[in-house]
Amino acid sequence: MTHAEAAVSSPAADDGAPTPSSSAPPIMKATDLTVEYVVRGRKAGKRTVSAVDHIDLEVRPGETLGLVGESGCGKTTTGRALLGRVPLASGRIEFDGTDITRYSKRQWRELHRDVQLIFQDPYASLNPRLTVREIIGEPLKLHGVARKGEPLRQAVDELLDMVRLPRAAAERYPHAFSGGQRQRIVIARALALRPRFVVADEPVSALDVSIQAQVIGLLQDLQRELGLSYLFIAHNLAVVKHIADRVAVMYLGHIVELADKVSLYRQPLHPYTQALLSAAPIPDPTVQRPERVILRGDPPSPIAPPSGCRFHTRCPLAIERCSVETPPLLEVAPGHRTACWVVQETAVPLPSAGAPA
Amino acid sequence: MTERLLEIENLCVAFPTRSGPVYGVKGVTMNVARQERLGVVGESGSGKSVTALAAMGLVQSPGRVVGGTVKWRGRSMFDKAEAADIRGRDVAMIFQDAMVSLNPLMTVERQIGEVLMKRRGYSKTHARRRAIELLEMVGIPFPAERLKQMPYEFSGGMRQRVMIAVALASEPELLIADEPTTALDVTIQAQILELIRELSDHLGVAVMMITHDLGVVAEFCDRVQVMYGGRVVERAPVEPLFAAPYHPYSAGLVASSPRVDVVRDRLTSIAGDPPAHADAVPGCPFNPRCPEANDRCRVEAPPLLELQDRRWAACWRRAEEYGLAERSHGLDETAEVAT
Amino acid sequence: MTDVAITAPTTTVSDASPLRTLLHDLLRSGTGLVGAVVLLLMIGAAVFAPWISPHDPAAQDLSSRLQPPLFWGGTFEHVLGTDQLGRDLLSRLLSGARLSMLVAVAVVAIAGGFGTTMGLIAGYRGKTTDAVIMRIADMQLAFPGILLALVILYAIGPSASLLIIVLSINGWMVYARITRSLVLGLRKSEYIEAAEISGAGPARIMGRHILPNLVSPLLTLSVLEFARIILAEASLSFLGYGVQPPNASWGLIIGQGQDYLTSAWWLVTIPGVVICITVLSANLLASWLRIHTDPKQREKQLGRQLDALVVEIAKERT
Repeated sequence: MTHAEAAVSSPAADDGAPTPSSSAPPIMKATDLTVEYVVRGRKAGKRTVSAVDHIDLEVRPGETLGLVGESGCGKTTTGRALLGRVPLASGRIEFDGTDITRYSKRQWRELHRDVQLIFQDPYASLNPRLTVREIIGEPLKLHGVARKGEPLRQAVDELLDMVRLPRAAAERYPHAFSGGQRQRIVIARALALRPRFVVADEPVSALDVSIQAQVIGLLQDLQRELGLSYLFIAHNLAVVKHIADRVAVMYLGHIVELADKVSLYRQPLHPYTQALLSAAPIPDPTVQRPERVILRGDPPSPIAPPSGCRFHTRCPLAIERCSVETPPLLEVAPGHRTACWVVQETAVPLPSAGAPA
Repeated sequence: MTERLLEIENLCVAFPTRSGPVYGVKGVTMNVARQERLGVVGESGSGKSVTALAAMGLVQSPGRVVGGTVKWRGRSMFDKAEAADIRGRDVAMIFQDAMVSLNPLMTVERQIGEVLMKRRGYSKTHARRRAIELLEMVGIPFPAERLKQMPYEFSGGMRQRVMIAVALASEPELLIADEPTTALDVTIQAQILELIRELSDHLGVAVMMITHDLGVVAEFCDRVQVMYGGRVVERAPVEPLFAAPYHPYSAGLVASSPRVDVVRDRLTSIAGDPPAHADAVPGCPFNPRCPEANDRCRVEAPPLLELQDRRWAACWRRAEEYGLAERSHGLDETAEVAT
Repeated sequence: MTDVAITAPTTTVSDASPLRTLLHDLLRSGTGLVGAVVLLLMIGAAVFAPWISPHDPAAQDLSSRLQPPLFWGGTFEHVLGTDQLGRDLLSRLLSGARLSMLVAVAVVAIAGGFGTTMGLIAGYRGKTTDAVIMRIADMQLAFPGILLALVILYAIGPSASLLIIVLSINGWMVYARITRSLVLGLRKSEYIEAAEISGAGPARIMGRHILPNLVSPLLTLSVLEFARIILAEASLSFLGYGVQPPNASWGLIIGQGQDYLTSAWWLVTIPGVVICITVLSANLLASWLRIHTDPKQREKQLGRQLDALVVEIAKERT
């Protein structure tokens, strides 16, 4: 059996997939989004921690935006903020043009028909005491789409078909299923109301490698079939690569790089992204890797973030300005933004033709 | 032939369930040689962690070892006294979660010191000095101050380093690492793997690296055992395993492992799910998901056979190709183990 | 992509609902089954008392007063003997069982229902609601229960209904505390969050998602409480502040018989033994439930079974 075909240096060929429209207004847009927690420190009373610190991001209709970062970077909180699950300290959220920042609980309940969540842990996100039919049918019941009897049965069967589980699964309990199958049940529940935007919070992190690809493939197929837009949160750059159209990299509450997939992986500009890519082990003992960027020390605690650029304490390229001023996220190449003084100060004009858009 | 340190032969571990005993590990044979870096790779239900724990005499109740032998330099690890002597001295183990494996109520100094004093006979002052050396060796800054701290005062990556320091304090010949970096961020993972690699070179410690991540295997290991459904399905040196895997599962696993260095590739998967334990599937444990399965595969589990020099696979189809399929082996008769 | 067949991950997983599995285990257990059966017999006897009583429990027959039980030289007419008014003890016990059981079941239902609801609300809502409810519970727990009950019964005048009320007032706190701590544990479960995002309101979440997951520990608690109330009622009736004559309850029977301890010991001892057996059975059942609804405990049990198996397997292979 052969490996995946490498195509690193071949010129960009369109792989035939329809490109998400970049001219239509974004389906989900966050501006200056900030989420804070109050922490009672051991030493000095209360401290405010910015889990998410004034970030801007947008997801275009039909696209998948990957949101990648390590623990504590704020990616999960960002996802929850877009679902109205955490209060915002500042910022604005717009769904399909409508400002939903100050939505009440009741308004959010209605909005959840369009905005849904896929969870990380398929073992914890299904109620062990309910059958699959009850689990998947619940959103349908609660929103009056199909309350009981035949319409409900049909709707649940349809969803099971969609996630490629046998219809017989409906009468069973979650414990009868494997991790990958449970995740499909989770997806079926999330899609019950036919949402338009789905936050997928590390949907494959808890699954075996050989199963991850099954679920990612399913998510891609469903995206095409139902016209979904995803915010795909992950800590693993390798996994995100296959499903994302654009990728945002977060570090300690900030977005440090945002680019379309190919640009990010071929030419990561931010030193943190470079470190992430460099650190990821590659399942190929013969590959020649460039000298690994090994970051010094541990990620700083979000309670006491470094001044200026939050990455400067571990950054191999840090200059003096980095410890003083926080760099903004600026476009340094078409469709490629990064928040780094060093890159911005040495930015060259647009790269040569042949680089994919 | 390099000296063999740990020899596991035909190991069987079973767990009780409502409907009878279930095998978590069935007929596993493997060994680790001096200074070697062996990878044991598998997904859920493969039995890789259970194998390591059983090898250390640490199978958790209610599971029990029900067959086979484990020998450390010829001494049986199922003899409680021998095991207690060898474990923590000649063989050390590190785990996925340092917070759970370090004693949360003891300072780092005491935990390292205990190993040094009890297992290697250090005096208290000598132990303190050595503990500082060890913390330095594992890359903990300000080791003298940090000696007095408790595990919870360290970050995840640092705690893992402390766990490694405790493990190395006894100057073991073999370090068993059970998913030591799985719970860590990828940048920290790289640091820790680098550390283990350096230490194993520097101190001549053999490492048995248990992981589900083929990237870790590719970067770290010399030789690999692929486990599936409680059995070893392939054994090979690392480069040939990736270049030309024999067992369809290994091939599928390699093909479905995502990589960051290639931009436009297709991600494949293996259809179906891994079995939860060794008896879940009749015949070859992989047969329901195997594109090459034939009738014999569905009925009889293939033994692990050496098909070429140092290349082993438990697969009837491969065995047929190499003309070895006629031999029919029962559970007790796995082929001779080579170095 | 092909359809994914359902593969049950282990042979241990059955498709039956959790309740059926539990019943199945119970039938194969030892002490648990004994406890359950005896308890059921007691309850059955109580329910069918009017039809199975050999005599009218209130019928007095002074010519047969203080007859001993059958095994102490008595007759088949009065298998367990008679009391000082010639009333058949067995019939009285059966009729007393009715009242004792009724009180216990009523208290468990009322206190349990109220306490569980309070615990659910406190655990789910948290913050002020939680603090208020728990402080009320704490204050009540600080009062000596039986003493308070006695005072109220004395002041207002004892009766079975008041007894139920008083015991319920004293009994809800334990349900609230246990439920609350269980809810706190489940509160942050992802499936709760999923239900919230699906549009479920607090009532539905508490009723449909949290409560069913509490059934096992609450069942154990209820059985234990049942036993405790039987004893509490017996004590209060014995003291004369519970069930009043002409009604009968086990405690009252003992109370009325205490003057004859030396001459007709069976009037005190036999009801006492009956109470013991009931309470013991309830405890056996509760112990069994506790083990069998806690996955970790169950594993230890299974581990012991495996040891025997290991020996067998070893023998086979030699």
